[in-house]
Amino acid sequence: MNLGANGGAGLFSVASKVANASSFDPVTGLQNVGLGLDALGVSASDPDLWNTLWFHNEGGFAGVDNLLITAVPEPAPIALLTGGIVAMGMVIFKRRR
Amino acid sequence: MKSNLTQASKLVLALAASCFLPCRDARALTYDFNSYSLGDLNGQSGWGSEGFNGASGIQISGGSFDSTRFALFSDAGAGRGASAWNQGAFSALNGSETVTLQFDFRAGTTQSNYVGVGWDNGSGKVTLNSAANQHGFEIKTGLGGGIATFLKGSASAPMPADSSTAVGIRSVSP
Repeated sequence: MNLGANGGAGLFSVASKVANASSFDPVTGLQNVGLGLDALGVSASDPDLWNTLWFHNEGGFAGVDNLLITAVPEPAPIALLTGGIVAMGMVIFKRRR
Repeated sequence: MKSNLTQASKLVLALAASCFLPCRDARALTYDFNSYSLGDLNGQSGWGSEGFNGASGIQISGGSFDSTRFALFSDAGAGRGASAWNQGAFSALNGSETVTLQFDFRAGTTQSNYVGVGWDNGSGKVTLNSAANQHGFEIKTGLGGGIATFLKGSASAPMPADSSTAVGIRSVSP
């Protein structure tokens, strides 16, 4: 899930693999689908509010294992801007010396 | 000591360094249940669980999934189900993050299973029966061999039928 894509509405893709397969295969029809997020929302449509991992089973035998969730921040524009300003400052300082 | 770096290379280095600053905040959580006690998942390592319509909650079992412990629901019956949740397992996500949710599941052919991330609005749990505005992103599997559904976007597609299929939600195709 890329939460910041699609103008802030987010995109997700699904991949799956059967047991003992070496790699995940993209699920046709579930690639780059809009998440419908609302960064200014007051419900779970705002991912800033997501704080719970959950699962539900019904109807019979079901097993869940090896849950993994990772979150990687996108490079922040402010960090890029700050780095650029610092670098330009260094260049100007060097020239004046 | 005079630096051998050119002004241009300094600029490039500074920009490159700034690009990596946010990577320090990358987070990952894994739940393999292998250190959990056999029996009710409720109360173990931040997990809550409850059954519906007379069903027992999610149980920790071992042996028949991948030879290690796993979370099991086996209380068959009309309308019976169970949810498990771990509130505050991770600090709230940020709208600019790329999130991967991955899990292994094994299921029969007629039931429905959901795995997702959501927002607890103060009830202390997120379950299938809780208010829909808490659900966030969820994926539904099972039901005749595998259907993935994103409820907010109402997207669905068949997935490979297998009794032990791993499913990953990724930002890009692997």
